[in-house]
Parts: sequence; structure tokens; C-alpha cells
Amino acid sequence: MGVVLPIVENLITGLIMGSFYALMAVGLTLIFGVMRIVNFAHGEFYMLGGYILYYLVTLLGINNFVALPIVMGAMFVFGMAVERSLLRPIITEGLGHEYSIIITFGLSLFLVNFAIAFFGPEYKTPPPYIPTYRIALGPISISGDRLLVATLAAVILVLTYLVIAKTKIGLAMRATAQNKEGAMLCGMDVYKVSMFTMGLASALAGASGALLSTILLLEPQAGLIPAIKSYVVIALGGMGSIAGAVAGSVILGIIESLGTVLISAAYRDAYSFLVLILVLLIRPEGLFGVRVREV
Amino acid sequence: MKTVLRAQSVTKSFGGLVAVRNFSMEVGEGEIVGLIGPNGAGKTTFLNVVTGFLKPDSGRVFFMGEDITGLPPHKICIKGVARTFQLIKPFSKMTILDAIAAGALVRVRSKVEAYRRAQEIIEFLRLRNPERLCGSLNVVEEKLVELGRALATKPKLLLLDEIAAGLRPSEIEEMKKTLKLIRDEFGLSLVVVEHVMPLVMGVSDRVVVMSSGSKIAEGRPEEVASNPKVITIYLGERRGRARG
Amino acid sequence: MFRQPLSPKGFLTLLAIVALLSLPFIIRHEYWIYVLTIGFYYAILASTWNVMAGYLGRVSFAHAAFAAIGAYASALSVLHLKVHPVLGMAIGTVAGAVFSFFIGYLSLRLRGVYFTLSTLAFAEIFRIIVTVEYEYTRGSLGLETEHLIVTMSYIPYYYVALALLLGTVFSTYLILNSAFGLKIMAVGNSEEAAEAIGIDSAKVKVVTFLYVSALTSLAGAFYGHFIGLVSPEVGAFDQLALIIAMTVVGGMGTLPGPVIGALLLEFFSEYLREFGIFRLLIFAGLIIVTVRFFRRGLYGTLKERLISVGGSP
Ligand SMILES: Nc1ncnc2c1ncn2[C@@H]1O[C@H](COP(=O)(O)OP(=O)(O)OP(=O)(O)O)[C@@H](O)[C@H]1O
Ligand SMILES: [Mg+2]
Repeated sequence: MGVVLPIVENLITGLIMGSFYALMAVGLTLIFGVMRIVNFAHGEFYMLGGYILYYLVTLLGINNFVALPIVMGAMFVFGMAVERSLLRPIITEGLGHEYSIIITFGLSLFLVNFAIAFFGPEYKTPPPYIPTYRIALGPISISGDRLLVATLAAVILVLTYLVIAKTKIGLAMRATAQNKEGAMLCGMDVYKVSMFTMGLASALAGASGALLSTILLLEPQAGLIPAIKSYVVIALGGMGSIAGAVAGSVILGIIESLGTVLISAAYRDAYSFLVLILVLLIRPEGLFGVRVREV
Repeated sequence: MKTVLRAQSVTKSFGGLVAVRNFSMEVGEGEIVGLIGPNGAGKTTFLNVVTGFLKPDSGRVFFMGEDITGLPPHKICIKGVARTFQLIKPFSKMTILDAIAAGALVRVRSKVEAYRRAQEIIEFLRLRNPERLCGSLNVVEEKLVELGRALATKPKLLLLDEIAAGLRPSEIEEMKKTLKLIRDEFGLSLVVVEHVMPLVMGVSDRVVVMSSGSKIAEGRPEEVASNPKVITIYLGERRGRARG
Repeated sequence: MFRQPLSPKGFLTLLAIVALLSLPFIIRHEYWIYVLTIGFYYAILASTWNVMAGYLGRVSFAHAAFAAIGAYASALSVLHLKVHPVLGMAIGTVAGAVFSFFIGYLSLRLRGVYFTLSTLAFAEIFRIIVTVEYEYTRGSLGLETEHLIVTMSYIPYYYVALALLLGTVFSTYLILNSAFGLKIMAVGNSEEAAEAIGIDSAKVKVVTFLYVSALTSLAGAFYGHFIGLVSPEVGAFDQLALIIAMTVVGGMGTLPGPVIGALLLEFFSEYLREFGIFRLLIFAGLIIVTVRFFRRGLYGTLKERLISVGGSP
């Protein structure tokens, strides 16, 4: 009994964390699916989302719930601008993975140091969405504010799913992810699709930052760990797969929270890296993916 | 005639899709064999199995009597099988000379010797300015470099995957002559996967027709061209294309 | 030795070497000698990273980590085995080679960005281990270690670093111009096409990674015994960022580019010292602008201009 309760609590915490990872990971996997690149600045999109929320709430006195969609809108525009200005040559000039890795790494470095220089290196605490309170379910107690924030994340995920499944641009995204040449032949505007994908992914990462930074702390490098987690997640779920990203997020969230009970906290982050390496080496196509070799 | 390549009941599927089904074919010494079939017939997949880029689900591939099934691609090349790619894979950031010399390295250790052989092949293919980067060439030159790179490995069997796609009629005539010349000068066997009928019918000693992964006809070009099964398939495809 | 008259390129190279050899007699400021020595260190790291990214087409995020592996292996063996730092540096080099063999063997078969992700994971695991295992490594405080040379001046270090740099550049030149170099470039351009022409791409990749990592670890070990302190900083992402910025700005995929980029940015970075927090911001901006608009970097762009002015193709 003494061990079971913490495990159940950690399971719930794991699910909650999983929903945040999913916000990051779904965006990352969409970018990979459509554009065949890994965005190494994804964590910084998260961080920017957190700061925008922070300033909207503290400087302009806007309510968190109103600020959240504003953050997403701003990050959507930002993501599109990044695609248009930095990533476009990947399509127009057919550049290889070296280009996309180095340019997004450069962007990541730029945004981190921009935040250090202009927002300051110190920790910031954006005001919470609702005051902290705990919900008691019999002997189990979970954090109610976290649950609410996780619910918001889930709502955003569902909306994203609807966009991808039901809209014309969503269809174009899926088509491009399946077969870029084919999509182009069918008259789809690959530029528009890529731009929208970056915008959407950036908005999702921003939302994740705007939600999670009220629970964790906000600082210029706050995006690093969530980004790494989302690499692990998309590797687990199979790069480019949305369902895989969601499943991977839940798995990782649970592994981690259970892990803190069972293994040393100091090495907690090291374990996610180890998982990343193992997945890449053993099943580079992800747990649910199909192995393909392109010739 | 000695058999250079013997593929025996090769089957390869992707998930539920059987791309190559129980497919057998042989290539004799000095022979040019055309391999044709509609889009998605499994031609490229078959080449990938022969050259080691894909492992067959079942069936065996023999080269000069030796079982090469499942060997990695570079070992198969060392044995004497070379190929070109349907979606060309140029060494874009290397010069023509470097790219072809890289191919020669499988036979010679010294770089000087590799360059000498590359130079010969460049002259044979009449490529101008071999100091140009492979990323800056026109379609014909790209195809020739792809061909030259494969030739430099001194193969006994050369597999060409749609080498004439995207060429103009006059260039196709050129390519036809080049292929025959290659066979005679280098004394090798060729498998020509092709949609361009004038080329494949013009150079092949024998044509194999593939459809949905299986062999449906085989024979001299004129026999195959008048085979009702083949005509149905191709007419069907043309109709399909006109619709799509 | 020179049967042919020296080419302009050879002449410029010789000139640069002579200039670097005589600089300590011209610049009397110890401070600038120190800056140059650090510049040489970065030039080695940028040159080796460039072999991977610019020629083999593999972007490694574990490069700074390999410098740290060399530095820690050397410092720890000097501390515990009581060996001379020179022997320590040799041990550091071997440690880098051994690690790179295993990591390379495992992860180099991953394509493109998958490889990069795995190097990121390896680098982070290494950093976490070093930080957590405080008893052995003194964590983020850093491990004090012996100096390579007992001296009041930086000049001896300057020459050691210069020798290491020249050795790196020269051996890299030889490799890239050998038959093996052609294979590296073939694999870097298209792995499948390389395999189709009989190149064992797995072997080429592992050997190249081993060469690169061993030299990087050697440089890291030297750096530790130069500064006298080995901390997780040596393998940090900031360092990786510097290395990438230097390579990209100087000219990725060219031999002199990373050296020029390293020395230039190291000087630049000294001038920027007073703008502390803006330093990395500017470097990041440089990476983005160069990669986006001057993909061939300083050296590549200059060379292109000179050739087009000179007229000969
Ligand atoms: N790596 C792969 N994964 C999944 N399916 C594949 C793969 N490669 C080929 N296929 C499928 O196998 C079938 C045969 O394809 P293949 O490329 O061999 O045909 P082909 O005869 O070369 O066609 P084409 O004339 O268009 O080049 C096709 O339906 C194709 O979609
Ligand atoms: Mg094909």
C-alpha cells in the first residue's frame, strides 16, 4: 500500500506531463512529416510562448485565459516568418539536412541569447491560470491547477486534430507528408503548406510554453528540456506520425514520473536521453512506425 | 552462352503490397536484356534486390554462379554488379572527374590510377570540362556521369534504371549507340529498365515484361511487341494515363 | 623537394605559416599570445568538425563533448596515475578514439538528422554524468589539473598549440586528397550511390569519425593543461555553438575556412568581451546570416570572387 499510492499519483502526474509533451511533440512531428526536418529551435518557440504570456499578463494586465490565444496567434505568425525567411531554400534549392540542422540550431542559439539579453537571465514566474489547489480523490491527492492546465492542453490538441483531419489545408499537409512530389503534381502549394505547418507547430509550442511556464519556471533556457523530451517522444512515436507523438508523450510522461520514484532524480534527464539513443538505435522508425528504406 | 545473372523466384513485399512476386530471370554473357512494365510493376524493386539495397523475402540471386542474395550493396559491386538510379543520386559537390574516379577506386588502390581510368571513361562518354561540379550539369550530362561512375567500377553486369527518362529523341538515339558501344567495348552484360520503347526495343537482345510484380512475357523485342497480353497492359496503362 | 614552382595557394599557405611562427616576436603582448593560443584550439575543433559536416555530411552535436572527454581523461589520469600531462594527453586522445569508435559504430548508420539527434543525446548524457559524479570530477566547479609546461609565459603554449593545429590541418589535407578522401566525399554526397560503386560506407564513416574525435580529444586535453582547469564548460553547448559559427563563417567544406573563421571570431570575441551578453547573440546571428546568404562562407565566397575575377575556370 505504501508504494502503490505514490505510484498512482505519479501515474496521474505522468499523464498530465504527457499532455504538455504532446503539444510540443505534435508540432515537431508535423514539421518533420511535411518538411523532413527536425526543428532544433522548437524549445525556444516554447520559451518565447512563455515570455509572451508573462509580459501580456504582468505588463498589460491581461487575463491568462485571454492571453493564451494571443500567444498562439503571435507564435503562429512567428513560425510562418521563420519558414518564409530561413527554411524556404530547403524547398527551392533542395538543400540537404546539414542546412536545416545548422540553421535551426543557429536560430535556437539566437533566441536563447536574445532572451538573455532582453528579458534577463533570471527566473520569472508567470501568474498561474487559477490559484493552486489540490483535489482529493479518496486517499489520492492531485494538483487541481495542473489538471486544469493539462485539460487546456488537451483541448488545444483536439482542435489541432480537427484542423488536420477536417480542413483543406490539413488535407494538403497530410498529402505533402505522404508524398511531396505527388502533392505538387496535384497542384498543392507546397510553400503555403510548409508555412502553415511551421506556423501551427510554432503556435503549439508557444501554447505549451504559455501553459507549462506557469507551473515550472521560466528562463531563457527553459525550452531546452521540453525540446529534448519532444525529440524523445517523436523518436518513440515514429517521426512524422501524429498518433505516435501523442502515444509517445503519454508513455514518456508516465515512464518519467514512475522513474523518479524508482530511480535517482539526478539522472532523471539522462534517462530520457538514454531512451532516445535506444529508440534511435533499435527502432529508428519508432515504436509504431514501419521500416522503410528509400532507394 | 554463360549465365551472368540468375534470379530465382524472387519475392519482395512492403507491408501488404507484393512488389515483386516469384520473379525469375536470367542474363547471359554479353547480352542486353530489356526489362519493361507499367509504373509500379516492381522493376526498381527487383534491381534493388539484385544490388543488395533490399533483401528479398524469398528467392535467390546468383551472379556468375555464386549466391549473392543478401550481401551488402558494396560487396555486390565488388563482385562485378553496377547500377544507376532511377532518381539519380549525383555527387553534387564533387567534380565529374572526382565522381567517376571514386567509382574506379573499387578496382584500383592508387588515386593516380583511378584518375587515369576516370579520364578514359570521360573521353569514351565524350563529357566536356570534367572539372565542373556534378551539381551544375544538364540532364544528359547527369545521366552520362551516373553511367560513367558505374562503368568505372569495371562491372560484368550493369543495371540501368530508366537512363533515358527525360531525354529528347535525338539524345535517345545517342544513348542507344552508347549502350551498344559499352557492351562491345567493355564486354559486359546489361539490364535496361526502361519506359522509352524506341530505346529498349532498339538495344535489347531480349525483353522481359513485368506487371504487378510477375513476369508476363519474355522474348525477342518484336515478339514481345506483338504479344496480346503485353499490348493489353500497355494500352490499359495509356488509357489510365490519359484519364489521370 | 619542390620540383615544381610553388603554386599561389602553396605560396599563401607558406606565408601564413611563417607569419604564425614569427608572430610571438612581433606581438609582445602576452595577452594576445594567449588569445591566439585559444584561437588555435578552436581552429583545431572547427577543422575537425568541418571534416564531418562539410565533407562527410554528418552534423555532430557531440563535438565539444569529445574535447571534454579528452580533457577529463587526461586530467584524471594525471591526477590519479600521476603521469606527466604529455602522457595524459596521449591517454585523452586514446579515450576519445575509443569512445568515438563505440558511438560511431552504433549511431553512424543512422541517416541525416537521426545521427545528429543521437550525438546530442550522447553529449548530454556525458555532461550530466560529469556534473553529477562530483566526487570524481568536482562537478561544475571543475577539476584543477597540472599545467603542461611550467612557465611564466604563454609563448611555449602558443607553439604547442600551433604545432597541433598545423598537424591537424596537414593530416586532414593529406586524407582529403587521398583515395580515402574521395570516398569520404562520395559518402557525404550520397551514401547509396557510394555503396553502389563499392564503397563500404559504414567503414568510411567510422574511420573518419574516429580520426576526427581523436584529434578533438587531443586538443581538449591540451586545453585542460593549458588553462589548468577542466570543467563541464569545455563540452557545453556554447562551445559547440562557437565551433559551428567559426566553421560556417570561415567556410564549411573548405580546408582553410574553419581556421580563418576560428581565428577571426576568437579575436572578434575578445573585442566583444565588454558586450558579454551580446557575444553569443551576435555569433548566432552570424551563423544564421552566413548559412542563409553566404553558404560558402568567407573563404568560399572570396575564392569564388577571385576565380571569377581571374577569369580562368
Ligand atoms: N520502399 C518502399 N516502401 C513501400 N513500398 C514501396 C517501396 N518501394 C516501392 N514500393 C512499391 O512497390 C511497387 C513497385 O515499385 P517499383 O518502384 O519497383 O516499380 P517500378 O516498376 O520501378 O515503377 P516505375 O516504372 O514507376 O519506376 C509500387 O507499388 C511501389 O509503390
Ligand atoms: Mg522504377
